[in-house]
Amino acid sequence: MAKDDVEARTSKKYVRTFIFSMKTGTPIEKLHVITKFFMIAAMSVLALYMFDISVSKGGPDIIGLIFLLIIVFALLIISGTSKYLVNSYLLLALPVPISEFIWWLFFDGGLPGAKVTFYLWPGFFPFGLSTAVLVLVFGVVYYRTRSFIIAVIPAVLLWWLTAMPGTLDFSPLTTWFKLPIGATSSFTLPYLSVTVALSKALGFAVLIYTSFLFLLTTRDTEIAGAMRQLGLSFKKSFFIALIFRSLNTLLIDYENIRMAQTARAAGVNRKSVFSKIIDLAYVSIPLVATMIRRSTEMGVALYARGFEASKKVTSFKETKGITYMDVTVIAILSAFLIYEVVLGHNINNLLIR
Amino acid sequence: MTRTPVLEVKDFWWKYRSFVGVENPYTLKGLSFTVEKGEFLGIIGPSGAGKTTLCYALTGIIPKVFSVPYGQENEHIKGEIKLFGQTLTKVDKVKDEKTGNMVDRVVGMKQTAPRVGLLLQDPENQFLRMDLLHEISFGMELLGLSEGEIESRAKEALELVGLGPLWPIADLVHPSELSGGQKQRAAIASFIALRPEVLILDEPTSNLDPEGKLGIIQAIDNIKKEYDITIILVEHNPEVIQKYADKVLAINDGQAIAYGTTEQVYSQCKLFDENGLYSSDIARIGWKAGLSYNGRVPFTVDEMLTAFGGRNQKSLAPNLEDDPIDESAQEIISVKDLSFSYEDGTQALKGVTFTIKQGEYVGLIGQNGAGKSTVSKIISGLYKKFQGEAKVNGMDLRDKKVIQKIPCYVGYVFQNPDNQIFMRKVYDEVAYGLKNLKVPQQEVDQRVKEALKSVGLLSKIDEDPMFLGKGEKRRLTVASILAMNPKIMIVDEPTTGQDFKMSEDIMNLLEELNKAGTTILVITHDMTLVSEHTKRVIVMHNGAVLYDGSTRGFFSNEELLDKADIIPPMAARFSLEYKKKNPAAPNLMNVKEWVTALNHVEQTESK
Repeated sequence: MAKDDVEARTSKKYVRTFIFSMKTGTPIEKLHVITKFFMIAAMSVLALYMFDISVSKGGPDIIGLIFLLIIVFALLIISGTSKYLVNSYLLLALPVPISEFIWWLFFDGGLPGAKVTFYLWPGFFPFGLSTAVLVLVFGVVYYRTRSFIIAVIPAVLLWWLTAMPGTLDFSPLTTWFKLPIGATSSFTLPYLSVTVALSKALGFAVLIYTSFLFLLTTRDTEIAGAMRQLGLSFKKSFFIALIFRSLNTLLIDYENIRMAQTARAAGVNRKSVFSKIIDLAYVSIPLVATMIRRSTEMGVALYARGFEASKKVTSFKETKGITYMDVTVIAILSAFLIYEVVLGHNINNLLIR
Repeated sequence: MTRTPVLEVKDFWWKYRSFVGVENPYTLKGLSFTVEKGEFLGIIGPSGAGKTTLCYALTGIIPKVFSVPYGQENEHIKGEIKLFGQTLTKVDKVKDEKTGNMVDRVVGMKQTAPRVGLLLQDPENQFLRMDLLHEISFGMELLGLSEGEIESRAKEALELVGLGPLWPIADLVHPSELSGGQKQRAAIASFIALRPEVLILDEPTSNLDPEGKLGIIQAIDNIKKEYDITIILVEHNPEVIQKYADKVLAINDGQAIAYGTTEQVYSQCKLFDENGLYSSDIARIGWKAGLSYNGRVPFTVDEMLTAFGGRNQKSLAPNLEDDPIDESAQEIISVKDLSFSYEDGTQALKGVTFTIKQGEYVGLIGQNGAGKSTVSKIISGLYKKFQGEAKVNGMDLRDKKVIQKIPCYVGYVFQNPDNQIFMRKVYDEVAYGLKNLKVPQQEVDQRVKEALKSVGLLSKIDEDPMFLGKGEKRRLTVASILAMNPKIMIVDEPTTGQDFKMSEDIMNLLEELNKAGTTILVITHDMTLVSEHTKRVIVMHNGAVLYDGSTRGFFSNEELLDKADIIPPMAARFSLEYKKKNPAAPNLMNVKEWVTALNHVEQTESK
């Protein structure tokens, strides 16, 4: 390659991926898509295996899962994708591991193991003046600010102050009734539930963020190329690539249509969820019309390039070779899989014992 | 010199198959013409004339892709098209394999690629791959060329269309990273690489700015000269056709209304006027003022200067003074030091500052990517994350509550009507915005009818918008915004892909709205319309305001025009050239002003 060409190539800092773009020249960008796919599959299998709670295999592997999560985050950082974007996706996906944690913590408590006790105070919920304060303060502040957070903070604070022992609600005059929230003033959690909940949350985090890693660092052209390397015919792999291309134009159209809807006052007044769904349905009318026009023109463009008549198709820079780095990554992951899945070892138990 | 005919169209008729039970009329009606090797044929005609259908027929897409019902071939196709001396499309008697009887069937060449290439209007739909390199090489891969051949042809094709600098990174360039002009150049390159003998281009530059348009057409002409390719170009711009085409075919309602050399066709000014076709400013001035060059109307600025030579130049016109801007009017749009970056890091605006007063009619102009749409979308509340200050009707757009209410004040008419029609009935379409604003039903009825009446669509109130014509859809989108009674109306490229009459209609409608008090901000690449309808222009260049002032001031300042990479309308160019010899002459910008000025000369001379 000529010197000028090399300079031009290095000046291209970012390359478009499925979601947004990533930096060129990073180790992740250099990996073959098959390696990336193997990496995602292997890490997913490992995560599923590590949060398996069966006692026969030594219980969940929390340290192994933490290790996997660190690897995923490290890869996300070195992939050179936009920090803002990575953070946004991390936040967006966070409710899943959190809800997993809560679910397994509270609703799967029948497992054996050492117990820890959580003390809950005061053991009942007082309905009285404090509750009235809560509702009133929240209502007034929310009406003025239309902000849930701004309204809830002073409301809870004042409720807590008025519900303190010795304050208004504990006086028989101001406490109207008390709703018990448990038979005792404390309740217990099985130790294993905490372990299980943690492993499930970590496991799901690994599954979600490895998927993000794949989408953030893979180009659609790589998929088409890999499919050809795996023996799929040119026309079949091309049509899969064409779906990606159509999705790309579909997103552009969707964005334009939604903007046109906003310009027609779709967001001026508060709407019920039902009305919002109806508005989304209206988008389908121009979207379908545009899609039909686009697909017709794409058909014309294909005919004009001689797609129908083609017999012997050349593969021109469609595929990428497997490098030593690919082999190394596959080997390390395979070793890890053998250690955990085939041999049934557990990093958690290894380190703790 | 007799050249070989490449295409022969003989009394060709075509009718699309119907899917709704009602039979379609013929789209092409008895067209006959011949295109010779190396010829440049321009095809012109109003919207819906059948130009695109003709392009499809000349490439065999009709009837190969748009097929006809089996056994009804004769009802859909008449006549014959020959390509390279062979039948491309014709209905002929053939022996039925099953029955052995002679039956009517479509016969002809199965595939025209790679000898014929077809470039469509929307580059987005032709970009079939996910990177530039494979987009260019796609057709060659299908042809089974060797890798070395593909590489050398792809590189050469990119250089020919002016995308050579992208070659080293072509495999890393995603379609979304290319501008509209670059995509269209890439589409041309993908055909050039196939070395076609005939290249058919269907309005390839309609979305581009005048500089970009000329760049593309110049690239096509260079390729024609380099490879002796036959070019068939569908184009509205008379300057382009007059400069590059050898022959012109004018069609309307599927029929040829004129066919001959550019001089022969463009001399028929009355025919152009009657059929809503674009003729150049110069031809219109010449026609209306009765000027002649070599026994016909002048076409170019030089021809006009010659035709004009003998006139009494001293009494050319009274001084044209633009109406002063009403300084007492309320400031309705104000942007100060406005900056905006897209998520991919592209900085679209770099400290834009301007104000617009109530009741103004302002043209927002500049090259593709100058930042016109971005600033308009900020004013309309569609883009929220900007730096700097933006105010509409005194309200600060940094306030989320204000942003929500902006559609009550600013109406944005988007470029593509197909993207903004949500309903299956014209009434519902116009009522949609009003219902969002919670306007009482009785008032909705009244406002819908008023808006439809003002755009001339009241008679279509119960029809399905999907079946309206292109110009009608455009007017419907204006009515939908108009019904919401916005104080400001922003109209993005109102004339793209529309014929002369439709463009005039829409611009006149905007002018009427402006007279009724609506502030109009129009984004357009059509400098003729800018010169005819706006008194003030804001010129954007590389995300900043390059000029903000009178339209006349801009079109008479060559230095500014060069800086902004904007080609002024022909009438203004003629004025600039004329003033070089007659510095005291006024700056006339459009056909109307020139005709008024020339009539003044007539009157002075007769006295």
